[in-house]
Amino acid sequence: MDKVSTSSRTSRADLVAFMGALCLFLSAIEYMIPKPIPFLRVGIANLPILISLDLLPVPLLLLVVLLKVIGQGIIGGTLVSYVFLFSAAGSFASAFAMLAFRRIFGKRMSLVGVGVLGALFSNAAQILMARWLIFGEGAWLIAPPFLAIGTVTAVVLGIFAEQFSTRSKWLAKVRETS
Amino acid sequence: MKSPEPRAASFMTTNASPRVLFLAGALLFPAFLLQQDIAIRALQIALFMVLNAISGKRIRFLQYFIVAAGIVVFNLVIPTGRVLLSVIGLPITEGALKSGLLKATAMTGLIALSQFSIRSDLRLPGRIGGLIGQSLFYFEKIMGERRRIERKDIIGSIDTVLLEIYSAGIVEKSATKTRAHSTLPGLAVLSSVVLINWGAYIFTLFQPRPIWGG
Repeated sequence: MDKVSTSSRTSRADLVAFMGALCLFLSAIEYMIPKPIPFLRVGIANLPILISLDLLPVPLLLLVVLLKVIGQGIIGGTLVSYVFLFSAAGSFASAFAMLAFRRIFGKRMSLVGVGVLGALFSNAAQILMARWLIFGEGAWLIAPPFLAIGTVTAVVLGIFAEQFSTRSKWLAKVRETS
Repeated sequence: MKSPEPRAASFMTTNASPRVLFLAGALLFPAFLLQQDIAIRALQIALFMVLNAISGKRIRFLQYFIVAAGIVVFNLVIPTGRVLLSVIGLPITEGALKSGLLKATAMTGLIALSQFSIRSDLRLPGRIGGLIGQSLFYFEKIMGERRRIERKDIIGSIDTVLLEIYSAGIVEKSATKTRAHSTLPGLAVLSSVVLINWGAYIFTLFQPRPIWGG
């Protein structure tokens, strides 16, 4: 019994680390995309969070988000900057929103819908941070394009996540073992 | 696609361990943020860029400039204080300009500071530190296989790479631990930088400058 639970815990921890790594990989891809504001992100690093919604319990999912945020800080070298605060605020706001909507609506809401709502919450949190820390009232000027870009990329990501989660052999293996 | 973290040997990568760099960054963080003199902040940013250069990092001047310019422009939208000049009928006010410059230098300086003080081989202690290390291990594996990801079959190729790494990862991960050490020259450079920055802050406490200080 002990052996089984230890092994299960190890494999869960390993899955958390793996999802964190996937976030970092996608962050590294995102890092290459030029952007006018450092915390403005396309959001592809949220893909592992989106597909983990049905795989991991809430505490472990939040651990993946934490790994993503700290890892992004390490990879991008922004761990001790405002960018880290923006990233943390956006990622956690998005994760809590996606978790809540997934729990409320279950499979009746697609990953596209969940992703879009997550992106809206993430962007709203970041705009509030920008208003507070950097831009002052000028932050409201960037809000409309910021929200529009976030919504469009979230739709594309959601479609990708739906396709990936139905076709992936890796995810099938993860579901089997977890 | 390349990893943002350079692998080439440089003065800092061979003379300072990731933990010492992290500690230096943590000590510089308050000395930089507490500094309210914009001219001194600009010098601090230049120093951080030099540290990035001797850490083998590419300095993205254009990115820094775009970030700083964007922040200043957004702050100028809300006028505060006396009008310094008008550009295409829009007033440039002293308060808004100063606020914008303070925020812009804070943002760009912290990015520069963070980029040299945080390395991807940084291993933090504790359970979370262990998980981060494990994640970075998997990350390096995925990065190593990135050329196998094809645009034509993006889902299929990513899936194959993930399946292989996930299946093999647990066995391999304990075998790849390397430890970087700090040397006297590395410690001397970092200590000097920390002392200079704190010295500059203490100096401006006693000698605040009338226009851009305080």
